[in-house]
Amino acid sequence: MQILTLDELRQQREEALKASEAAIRQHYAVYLTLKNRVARINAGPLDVADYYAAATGLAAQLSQLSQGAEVTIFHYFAECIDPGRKGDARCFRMECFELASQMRELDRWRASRHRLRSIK
Amino acid sequence: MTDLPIRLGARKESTTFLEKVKQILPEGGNLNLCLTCGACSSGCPATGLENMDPRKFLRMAALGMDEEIKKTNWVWMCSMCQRCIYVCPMQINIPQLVYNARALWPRDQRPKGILGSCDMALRNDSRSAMGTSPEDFQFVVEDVLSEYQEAQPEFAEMEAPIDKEGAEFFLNQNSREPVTEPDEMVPLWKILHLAGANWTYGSKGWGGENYCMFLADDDAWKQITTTTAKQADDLGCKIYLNTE
Repeated sequence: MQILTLDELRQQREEALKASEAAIRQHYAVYLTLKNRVARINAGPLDVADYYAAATGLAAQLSQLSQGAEVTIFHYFAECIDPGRKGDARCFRMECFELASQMRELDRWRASRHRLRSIK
Repeated sequence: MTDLPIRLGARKESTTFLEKVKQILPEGGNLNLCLTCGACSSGCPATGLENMDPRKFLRMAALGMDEEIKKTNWVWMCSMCQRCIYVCPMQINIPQLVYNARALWPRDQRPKGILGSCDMALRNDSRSAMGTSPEDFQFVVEDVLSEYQEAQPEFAEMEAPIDKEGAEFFLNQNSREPVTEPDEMVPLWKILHLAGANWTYGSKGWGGENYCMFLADDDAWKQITTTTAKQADDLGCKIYLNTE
């Protein structure tokens, strides 16, 4: 069992965020659709009959975003949401909340790296 | 007959579980400091059981999924080994969170084996989950001791005292050993003998295991612990040696 230091973890996180940003630049439309889809799922109850389609749809988009050698924040979710891999109906809601929260953090991090501000 | 659809629950307005747990922990038990790195899950023996792991469990709590926290059987699969704390860069106390999630279950719905062992310990002065009485324990200890004293002359002077007043060390004992594997008690006796330690068992509270802790029953846990601590105090022992 490898125990990483806080600095190593921070560095890994920074690298994952950078790789995620690159993935978003490459597949921006996919990222927007993914965000909308996750927001819709998180906004209300989901019939269990719709679970499989919802999960496979999300997993496909996450897989698209996690293509490439570098590890993005999407890799974990592509694996944990896909019903054909580690995905499970009981954890689906949690994974979607978690994904939304990670994407919020990612967007905040992206915004913090730019000097442009939206002015009313 | 209309089949109502099963729905995967929607997000609740507010959370109470995580807030409650944080209130009872020093400095909130660091529960807000999770980096979501997953180090906790990498070393956890319960990872993957019920498709759950410590990271998911903590995230569920952080995301306010109280109903799911209350329902998952996984909390009973955690062995409270604390590896997750050991590997966590933020030292987050996940076992404490698991403990509090266990306490949310109605007592009679908690796992039968743990519940039965806790209740059994409360019914005898030994505080033995096996239900071993102080008299039976004394009989087994004396019997095994005399056997070894005879068979191994180098340990002819070895002692295994019970209720020896003024002993420095008070030793407890997993009560499975005198019942099913009595020979397993002897190696520790030998070590204490060779070290010249002045030690004793107590006739009360010698049972070292405490299933009431695993059951998340605070009152029963306290009752078990108080019995054994009082016996050590009454005998004037200075140091409590916990073998569990």
